[in-house]
Amino acid sequence: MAISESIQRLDLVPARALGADPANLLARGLSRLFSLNFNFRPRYRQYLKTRDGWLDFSVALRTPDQRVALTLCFREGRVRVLRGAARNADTTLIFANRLMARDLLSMSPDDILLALMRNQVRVEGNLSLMALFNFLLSLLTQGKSLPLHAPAAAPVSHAKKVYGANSGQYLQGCPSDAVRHLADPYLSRIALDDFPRLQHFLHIHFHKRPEICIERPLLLTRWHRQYGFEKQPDGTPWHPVLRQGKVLKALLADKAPRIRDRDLLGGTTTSKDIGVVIYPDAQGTLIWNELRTVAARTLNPYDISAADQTTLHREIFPFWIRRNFREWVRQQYGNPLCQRIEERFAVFFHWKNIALSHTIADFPRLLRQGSQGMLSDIDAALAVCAPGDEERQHTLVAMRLTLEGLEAYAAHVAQEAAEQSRQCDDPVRRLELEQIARICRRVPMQPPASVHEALQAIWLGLIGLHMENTNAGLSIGRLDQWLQPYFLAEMQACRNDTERDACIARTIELCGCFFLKLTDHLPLVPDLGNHLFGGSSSDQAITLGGVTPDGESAVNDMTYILLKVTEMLRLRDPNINARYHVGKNSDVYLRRLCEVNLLTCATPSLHGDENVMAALASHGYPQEVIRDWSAVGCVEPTLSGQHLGHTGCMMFNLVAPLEMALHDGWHPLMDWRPGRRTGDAASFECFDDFYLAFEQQLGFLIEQAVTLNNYLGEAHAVLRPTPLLSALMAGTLASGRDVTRGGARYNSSGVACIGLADVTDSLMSVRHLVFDKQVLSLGALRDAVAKNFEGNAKLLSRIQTHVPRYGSGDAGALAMARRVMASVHRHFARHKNFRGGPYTTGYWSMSNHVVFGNLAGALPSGRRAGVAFTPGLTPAPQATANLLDNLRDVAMLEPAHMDNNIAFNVKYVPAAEDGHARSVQNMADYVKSYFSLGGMQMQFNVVSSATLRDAMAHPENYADLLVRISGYNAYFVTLNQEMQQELIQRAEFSA
Amino acid sequence: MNFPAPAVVEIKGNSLDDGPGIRSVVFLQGCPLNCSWCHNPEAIAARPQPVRDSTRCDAYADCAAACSRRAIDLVPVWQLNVDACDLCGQCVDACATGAIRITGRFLSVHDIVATLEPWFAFHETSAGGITLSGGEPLMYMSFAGELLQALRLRGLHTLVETCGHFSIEDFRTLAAPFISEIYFDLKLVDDQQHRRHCGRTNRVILANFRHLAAMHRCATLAVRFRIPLIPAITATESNLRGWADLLQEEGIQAVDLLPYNPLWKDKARVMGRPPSGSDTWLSEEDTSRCREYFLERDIAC
Repeated sequence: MAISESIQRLDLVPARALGADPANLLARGLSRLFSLNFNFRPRYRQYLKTRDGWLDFSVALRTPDQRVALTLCFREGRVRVLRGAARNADTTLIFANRLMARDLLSMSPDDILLALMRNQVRVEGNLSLMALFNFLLSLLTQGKSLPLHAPAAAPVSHAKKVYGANSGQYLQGCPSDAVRHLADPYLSRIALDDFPRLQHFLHIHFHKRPEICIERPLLLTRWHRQYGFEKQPDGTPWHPVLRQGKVLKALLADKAPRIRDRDLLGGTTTSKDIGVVIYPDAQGTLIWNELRTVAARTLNPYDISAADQTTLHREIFPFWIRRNFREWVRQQYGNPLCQRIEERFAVFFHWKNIALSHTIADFPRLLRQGSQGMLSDIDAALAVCAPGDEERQHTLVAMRLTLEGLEAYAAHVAQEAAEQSRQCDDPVRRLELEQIARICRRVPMQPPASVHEALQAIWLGLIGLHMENTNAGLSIGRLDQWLQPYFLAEMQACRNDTERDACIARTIELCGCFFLKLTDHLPLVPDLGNHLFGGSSSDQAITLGGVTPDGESAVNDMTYILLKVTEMLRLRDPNINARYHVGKNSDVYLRRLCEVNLLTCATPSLHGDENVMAALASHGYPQEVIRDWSAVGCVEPTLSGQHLGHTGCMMFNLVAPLEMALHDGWHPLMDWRPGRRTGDAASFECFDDFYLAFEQQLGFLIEQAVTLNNYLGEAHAVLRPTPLLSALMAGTLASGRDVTRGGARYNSSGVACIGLADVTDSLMSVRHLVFDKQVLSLGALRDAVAKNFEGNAKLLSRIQTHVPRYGSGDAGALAMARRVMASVHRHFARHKNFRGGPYTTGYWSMSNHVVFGNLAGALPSGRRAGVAFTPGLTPAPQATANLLDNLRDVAMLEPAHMDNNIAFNVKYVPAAEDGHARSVQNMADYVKSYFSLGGMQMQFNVVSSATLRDAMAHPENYADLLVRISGYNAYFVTLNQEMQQELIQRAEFSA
Repeated sequence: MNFPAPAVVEIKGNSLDDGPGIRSVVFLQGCPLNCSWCHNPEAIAARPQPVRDSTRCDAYADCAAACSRRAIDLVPVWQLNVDACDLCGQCVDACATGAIRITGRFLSVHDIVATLEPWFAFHETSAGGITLSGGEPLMYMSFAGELLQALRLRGLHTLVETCGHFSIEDFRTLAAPFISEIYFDLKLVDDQQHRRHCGRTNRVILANFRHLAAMHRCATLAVRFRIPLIPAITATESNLRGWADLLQEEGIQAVDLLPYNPLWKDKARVMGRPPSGSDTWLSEEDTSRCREYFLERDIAC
């Protein structure tokens, strides 16, 4: 197609004041400059060409009033600047005002993203192409606003540093629960100093800069370029599940086998020490704009070689511009309203754009049967598959292919280990490598016979899953339960105490290696993500303790061994979740959980087992299946190995419907009324009228959020079924369906609701001030809020001192929180997800309470504009100085309405004079009381605000300071400033 | 001395310092003494009254306007006409900054138990309980006894902090049966000094000290004796040696020494009560010197 023809295709809407507007003139001038550079300077022009030929797309820039309106058209190696904004441009940037339009072309990628988040600019159309356009811009602007050297972390000694109030003291325990061999289950005499190997990997973890690895996207893209994506080379359409089976088998077979120096477990997720994995089939193209700058960004920079930048730009990303979940929905459903709302950042955020991996694979089955046993089962199912049942046929074949791929990769790792051992001069290391070779020839094919083999089998399975599917909360499950039989067998084979001690130490080291293997990769986080989910890793949850399927205490030797590893390594990820069953689990165990929490400052997360199970029981799952639950991602309960719960499908901002109810359906930040009017605030005659308006806006936004989630669910079924995960999920052999298509035995989608305390306190404020005490009208309150309480200090004071808050022990406020949660649950429960399962509601926020708070105006609760919401469902810091009221109010919420669990943060600073034992006992007392009252989950941050302030001032001294955000752990120094401030401002309790 | 019912100054949850485990503390208003270093000055006066926290007051003047009995003067400084005030609470509601509160509320035993009830679970799990403090909780013996009985009936551990000035006969019949443990404060052994710093003779206190020491010896009541170390007042050699002698005479083998804590002064300022006494913490050396007087008589501390 000739250039002129392609331009004619564009439906141009001319600028309102044609050419006369200064901002429009400037924007056009800058665009011309941009086009001249790309048209005539070879060093820029080369970027217009990719593996598929010249870039071919158009970008429109405009203001809502069309006073600025122009289009850049990329075609056949030329960039043309056209007057007027094309209605059918591939992607459009809409500026909130003309000043923004003027500045865009000189902004850094960072600034553009911030402007996007704050709704000063919005995008309509393909986001990959917008990222591409920003990348091209960055070629011209690069160097501006870039720090030349990223700050290097100072060396940290991991063995000694303790940030909590008590240091150098360790409690001893006595055998309890189902412990068989550990005389002191607290393992108080074992320390990190005993394990130089683990110290070595910890050093890499804290000091090695992560590096983008293109192994997976390159192999993937090359395969698809050869064998097609939508269609096979012969033109027949691919069955998506079969295609994914084939591509994963090829990926695993071609993946380079790698064994880290000194490691005891073979195989790595990427080709780097700490690799950042790119999934261009999900959100990978959103890093396009940062290819040149990602190594220099302030927060969490990644290294990337120049050659890899070029490969990504030329070969990989262009293939995926439209082949990702987000763009599939946009094309299939015509840029639907729900997607346009989501892309404004202020209302909801859908993780399903990125992954459907928030689940736990059926590792016990892999351990029980080996992949060989699983293949026999698949073959048996294939043998009885009805002819003509193509879906089942393709799915079973695809599952088979992926397991074959996994076996091929294991064989390659075994070869690599054997090869390395032949070249190794160190006799000790040579033996270790020979052992890795031996083990990888055996697992995952055969059932393992030792802890070492079991961990290797699970790790190889995880690598396969990481190659198939974005790792966003792909979790491990009940590792203590699964490893205990192997540990018992090994201990029983020991002849004396020396051998037994060696066996315990070896097991600790192996589990430490396994934990550190889980840190060998990071999710790709665009800089925008640093603002949205600061400092988050993949959130791979491991669950400890609780009860067995028979209802007996499940706390065993491996529980304590894994707790020791948690205490020594103090890693943000894996995310350790401990179940504590009041009555079934001992106080010895509870004290140890609290001691580890105190020593690590932030982990494990503690779950009230009975209450979590009560929430699951509201879905009618069988009792023995419920008892086997484990946490996924942050805190969310999932039926281990048989449940695609996608428990992190979206983050939902509860404050948005409140703002819309106050403003008759209009959202202040978005400057948009996406739904219907629900009445002028001044017109409400009683509190319930106002609540009804809130609930109507809530219902509308929930409907939109669910619609988008279901569209995205369909996108997964079409674009990226996951046959390996399906092979590792109970129920798929019977259903003959991939898990993305509802094949798992149990299905659901879990939502994280954010801002409960802010909404509850705001509603209390409205009721108290407007309807109970009649201090002012709702119209006046709305206006004061809209002005961010400027000139209204008295009203703000009154709100802060007179309105009872949720978490203060006030019965009315607690009832209000329960009412809001019931409304939220009722609206979500009306819908089913794409896979046919229910929606579950949870109250944890990762770090989105900071982002959503940043994007929200002032609230009737007295919270000023832009300030972070409270994390999870934690009450506001000013609610009370009495921790007991806080704990009790949260414990009194309804578990059935929190079936996706909660994150309740408590910042607790023990008094220095209390001593270690008393501090641990106090924590244990709080936890046990809270669980007895009905609490589902809580997490302590045992670090004072003073320490956090010092860490902000001297980050170099605090590289490994662990903090709990909302559901996940992070290193404090990797957080953005708003997050750091939010942590400091949390209520700090001491007695 | 048996008034029917005291006002409750404060009910505080989550205390780890007033006895074993997690506790709640009920502070009762009214005290027979008037110690110059008192940490709870708002509990000395025997009747509730509105008080203003000058650090929070923004001088909106809504309190005076809201008072139907014109009991609040704003000029030259905020002042309450105590006799005119009927405790209606309008000033508290009217004050936007929350600077005014009424110290003390008249609550029935039933109301106090209901306020404490949400926290019972914490007391039970932690082997904690309820502490009665003040003021002097045993000033209203029958009320204290009823409250303690109600709490014991709920299975809770009860602890009383006393200055020792109470009627021993009433104590034996009305309160002692319902007390799990009692903290008895020993201040000044010399009557002259006691009159000077605590505003009253210590004769009753010394007599009660001997009664309770006897009960402790016979294990009919768990008593812990405590001495607040106030620089230049109680933490003097003659005073401490005096107590050490008495303790030894009574065969008491342990005493708790409570080092001086100047944090109470802010509280006194808010109350408009001129603070007196030292501004600094008791030094480590001074504390260990105080300890010596007891250790040399084999009294643990």
